[in-house]
Amino acid sequence: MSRKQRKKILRILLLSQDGNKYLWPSLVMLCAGTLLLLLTVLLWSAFDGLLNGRNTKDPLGSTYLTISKEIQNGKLAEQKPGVFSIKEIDVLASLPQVIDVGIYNSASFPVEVSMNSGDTLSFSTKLFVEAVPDRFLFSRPVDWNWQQGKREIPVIVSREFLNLYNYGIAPNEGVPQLSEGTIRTLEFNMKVGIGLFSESYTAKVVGFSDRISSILVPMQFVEYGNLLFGDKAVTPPVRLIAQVNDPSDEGFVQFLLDRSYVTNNDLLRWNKLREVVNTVIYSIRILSVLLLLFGITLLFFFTYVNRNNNLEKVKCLLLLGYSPRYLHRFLFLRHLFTITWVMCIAAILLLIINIRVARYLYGLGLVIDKFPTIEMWGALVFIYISLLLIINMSITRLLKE
Amino acid sequence: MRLSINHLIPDPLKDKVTAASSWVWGQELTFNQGERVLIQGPSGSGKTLFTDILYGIRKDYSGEVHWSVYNLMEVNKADVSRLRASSLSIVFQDLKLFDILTVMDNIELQRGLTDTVSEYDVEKWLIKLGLKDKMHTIVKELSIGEQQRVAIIRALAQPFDWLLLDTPFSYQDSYNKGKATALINEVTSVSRAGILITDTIENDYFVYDKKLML
Repeated sequence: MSRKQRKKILRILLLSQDGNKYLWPSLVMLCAGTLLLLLTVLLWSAFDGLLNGRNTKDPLGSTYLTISKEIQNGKLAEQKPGVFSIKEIDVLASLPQVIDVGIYNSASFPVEVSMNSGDTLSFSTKLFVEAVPDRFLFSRPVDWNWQQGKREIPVIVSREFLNLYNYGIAPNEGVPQLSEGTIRTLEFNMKVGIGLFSESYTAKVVGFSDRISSILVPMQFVEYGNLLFGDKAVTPPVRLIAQVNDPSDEGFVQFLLDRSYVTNNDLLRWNKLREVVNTVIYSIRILSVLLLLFGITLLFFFTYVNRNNNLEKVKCLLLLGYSPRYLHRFLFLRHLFTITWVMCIAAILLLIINIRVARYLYGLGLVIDKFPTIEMWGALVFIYISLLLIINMSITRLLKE
Repeated sequence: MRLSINHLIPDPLKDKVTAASSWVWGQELTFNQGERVLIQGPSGSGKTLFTDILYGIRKDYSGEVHWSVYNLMEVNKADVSRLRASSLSIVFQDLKLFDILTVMDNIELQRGLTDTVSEYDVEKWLIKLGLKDKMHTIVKELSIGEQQRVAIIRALAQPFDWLLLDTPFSYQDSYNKGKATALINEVTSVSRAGILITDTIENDYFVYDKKLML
């Protein structure tokens, strides 16, 4: 009789129908439990990346706050009310929650924008423009550049302003509502300076921003205008833009309160959002761990039932002259083969889910790792090794009995 | 391989038996390979206990049992396995067949351990004991008598110096008992193996070298 044939008989003997009945459900549950734990690691890793700014392109990756000093009656008489000193900016930048700090460079020259295209869209208004360092823009438009002599000025407008126009001004004034696409095609006359001492440009909206509530133009243009119509390229900083990890952090909030700094109301919203997200994550984690425990319990159950089922058979095989070492090896290899398959299936499913989730989130403008991270592979290896150790122990006990 | 038994008293029987009351318990005995020994005793006298001790299944006894140089009380599990696979064979009273396997698979599990007996011989023995048509039948579908004959063939399907038979013909009629005894005689005479039978009654088909009462 070949070794293969003998092993086949042993498989029939030790994998009887009674054993099989418990084997498959427990292995399916083990696979599901393992997968859920790995998905928990995936979720945790993805959320961590999104919330803590690991992916810089991600709108949730970190929060951008506009920080200014609170305007108080007593301070109105100060010579430079609300201006941040270099020291104050350095202190803010050195906080552990703060990733980056930039200065809003305000235009110190008058800006007037007008448009004349018949009766429907004719207007003229004074505006206030600012500039922030390009690294604070969510995405840098392709034509976001300006140098002296160029007559076209690219502009980024806060989406809030567009909404204000479309849902406030337009219905009231009886003027047409404008889509983002339409606005991008329009050209505006932009006059900077006063009277004879002024220059004319053509302004074009190249992007919209949710992050910054302002009308932005390239930094080079503001610096040029400030020098031309004033005496400094950069105005004293009264508003700062800060990229922060977790604006709801108690220490950070206390820092702002202590110094009477005010921010946009994103802080509170973020805090609530974060609480919701954290609750969801914790719930999923608990559920996953419970399911994994359920899966492992089922495997234990299988091992227990299998052991009881096989106990007499193994005893009998020992009586026939089969060595404990041979039976240990046979039983362990059989479990190794099965568990390896279960783990491979879990790994493949994890890979597919990871890729699909990454694709889906990318469509929403959120970027996570496309493939399972080292933590996920680590968790898989940990589960695999733990299971093999448990099985090994169980077989040793079975043979000792 | 010589079997030496020195003052063997099993713990469960220590209050019941004395050296004066038994030819086996508490005695000094030696059995040489090739001998045919009958250990006879009524029900409850410890026949199965005796074969279990000789086969290394039980260690709850005082005294010593040696198979050649192996003291069964001290021998390790690996050596016991080797002894069972190559020198000792047994027909258990409760048969210990795997009832979910076929007749052939049961025998093959034993034969395949050493692969020293040919499949041809096994088939020949199955024919002799009237089991040819049952080769691929699941054991639990056989009658108890047939199962006992399968257990006898399984015991023969390995190399051995001693064959232990614990009431091996309890479910056989005289016709099948004769056939089974003849087969055992045939195989053991070729291999010059010893036979140690425990039974309630004497089996006329064997010629014994020693007969002992428990």
